[in-house]
Amino acid sequence: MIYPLIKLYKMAPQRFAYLLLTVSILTIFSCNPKQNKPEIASLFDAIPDSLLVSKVLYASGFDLYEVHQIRKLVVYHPELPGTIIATFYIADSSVLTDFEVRNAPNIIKLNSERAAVFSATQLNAFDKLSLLGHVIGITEGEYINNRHIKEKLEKGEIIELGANNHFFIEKIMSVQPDYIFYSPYKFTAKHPLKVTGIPLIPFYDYHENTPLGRAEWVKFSAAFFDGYARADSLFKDIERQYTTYRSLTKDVASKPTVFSDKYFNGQWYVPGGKSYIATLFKDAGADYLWKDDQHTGSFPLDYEIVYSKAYEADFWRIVGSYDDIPSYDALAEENSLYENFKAFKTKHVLWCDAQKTAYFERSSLEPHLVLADLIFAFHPKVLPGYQPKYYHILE
Amino acid sequence: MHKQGRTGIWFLIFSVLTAVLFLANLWYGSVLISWKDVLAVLVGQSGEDSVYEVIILNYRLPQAITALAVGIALSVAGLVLQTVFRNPLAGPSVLGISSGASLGVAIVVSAGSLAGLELLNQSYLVFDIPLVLAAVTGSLLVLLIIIFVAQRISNVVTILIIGIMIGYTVSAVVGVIQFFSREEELHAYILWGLGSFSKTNNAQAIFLLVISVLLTIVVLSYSKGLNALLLGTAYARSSGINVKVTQNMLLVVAGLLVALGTVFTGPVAFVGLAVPHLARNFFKTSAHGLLIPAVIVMGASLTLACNLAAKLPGYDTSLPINAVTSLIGAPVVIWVIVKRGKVKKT
Repeated sequence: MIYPLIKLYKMAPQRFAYLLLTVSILTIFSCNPKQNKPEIASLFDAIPDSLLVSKVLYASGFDLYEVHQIRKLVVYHPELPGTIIATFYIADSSVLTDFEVRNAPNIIKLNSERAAVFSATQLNAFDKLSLLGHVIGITEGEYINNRHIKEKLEKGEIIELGANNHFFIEKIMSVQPDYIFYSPYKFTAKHPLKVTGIPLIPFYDYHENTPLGRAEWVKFSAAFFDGYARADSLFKDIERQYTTYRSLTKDVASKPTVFSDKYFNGQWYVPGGKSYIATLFKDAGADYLWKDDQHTGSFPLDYEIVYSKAYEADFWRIVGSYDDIPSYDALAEENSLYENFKAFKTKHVLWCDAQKTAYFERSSLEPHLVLADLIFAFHPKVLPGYQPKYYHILE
Repeated sequence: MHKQGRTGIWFLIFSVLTAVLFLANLWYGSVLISWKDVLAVLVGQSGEDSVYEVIILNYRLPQAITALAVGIALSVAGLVLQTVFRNPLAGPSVLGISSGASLGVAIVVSAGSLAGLELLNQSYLVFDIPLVLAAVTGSLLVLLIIIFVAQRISNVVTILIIGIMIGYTVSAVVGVIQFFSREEELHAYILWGLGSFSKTNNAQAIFLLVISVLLTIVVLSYSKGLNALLLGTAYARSSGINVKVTQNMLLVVAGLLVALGTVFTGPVAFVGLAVPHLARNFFKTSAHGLLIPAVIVMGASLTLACNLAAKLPGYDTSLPINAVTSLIGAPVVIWVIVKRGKVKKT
């Protein structure tokens, strides 16, 4: 190893320069073979924008186009709307033979049998679309409620590739899924999974701040498989039911006031006025106290600010965490300050048991039921005899 | 005569400051409440509108009492540690005692998830016995190790370094526990670590204050012993003091003070280290009969001032108290040291 280096060093500078030139030219030629196949991107570029219509109606995080049996999936930055962070082209391998696919990790073969899915909501979508057979890896198996996935985990048909917010990188590299659907907390160009070299497909459903927008991500998952039509009809059904329920509250005489969440270690994280739950409150015919706020996520407030605004609110919505025991006594024991709210005194706490209802896993694909639950709580006369699924008034 | 007079004036100034800051903590917050309304609430004549009453009596009052109690507890503990180890750099956070308490809390939090309990999730731990016990045990364990070492090695710098090393080791164990924690536990622990005086209710705050005062009285009763220890163990022994018993007793009391101050509010940095220095600087004395009352009023005014500063004007949320004590504490200590250096030169 050292000997040739010494030889190079001793070489006359001119001859060394010639050698370098030859090597560089060879390298350039070897990387640039004759291009006789067209690139997929150029196919879409040739079509005028007016003719290219996205299949996405509500979600702001992605767009989906289809031309000649090729799907183009554009993913946007979750915090910078309209900024593209990734583009994927998905097609059957028979279609792909006509195109240049070398060195293009963003070209994905339709119907992979080896997908890794790292988001619980997306896994739920896979289950609804009967696509679980295509999944080989997941993360955080401990917290998955879905019976089908649990069974597959036990049988070893699905492998756990991460837990407690850490990825088992070497295991992932040995299993080699075709691609990984991942769901990073924040968008970052240097994700720890990058090191695996496996194509990463970001799944940002939870950044959508409208219920229909979030549910529409079922199309995102389906775009990688044959059964897209099923996702389309599933979403149309959700959309129809959601708008039907929403229309029920158009003419309600009075809108009850509502606030949300609890005090946690010195801070009260309040959902912003442009958040997912704020949209649901509005559609359910309630008057959310922070409706004029501009945040799309939650933001921290002092107890006294929340109390001074919400002490007379009619309803108080809480999604219990995993080990919460839903009762007024437990709430009062957790924090005696809670007893001062009118919604507490009048027993108008609207509670969702996150564990029993698998709220975080399932509710994103059932926004119509979440909406109906809220309408039933705020305006029981509008939905007589309704049986709520996620939320109920705490007795 | 002159010196005593000055000491008296400083003591008066800081006592008044403590009282003023305590009232300011009741008056100032995210919600603007006028002086008159605060007074009306305090004398029990707030009338129909009970919003202010809830905010002042149930939210701001326990915060102020907690700040007061923690200020006293940590300052007295810091003074005891600095005297017993005869080292100006000794303090609850330096010697790893706070880390010991943190370890106890971390173990309980993650064990809680195993047992299906969510301890830190409940912001109001009604005398949460496992958590208090764990914090006390953790800090006393670290102290025991330090005492054990101190009895074999007389060099105070070595003891200090060993204390710092124990602190690192304990922090590493906490780090490993965090690594294997669930996201919500991690969040709870991180928020606990940032510190907050607003996690106690009135009963807990008063409990904290009473225990702190009682333990301070114990320390006060040892002020002669502390004075003697300051001059060295040999001197202390010659003046008829049972050095070992006195040292151990004082360290246990200091450990209890740190653990109590830590468990309800999270580790509050800097107070224990900085306040004894400030007190010596203002009161120009090393007599513990004076220094202990001095650190009480200065520690209490410092934590109350920090709690005020944490409530950012114009914002609807407060900064973590640990950040504020460090941001205020570090420059103050530097200023004091530099000023003292100048005085010595001239």
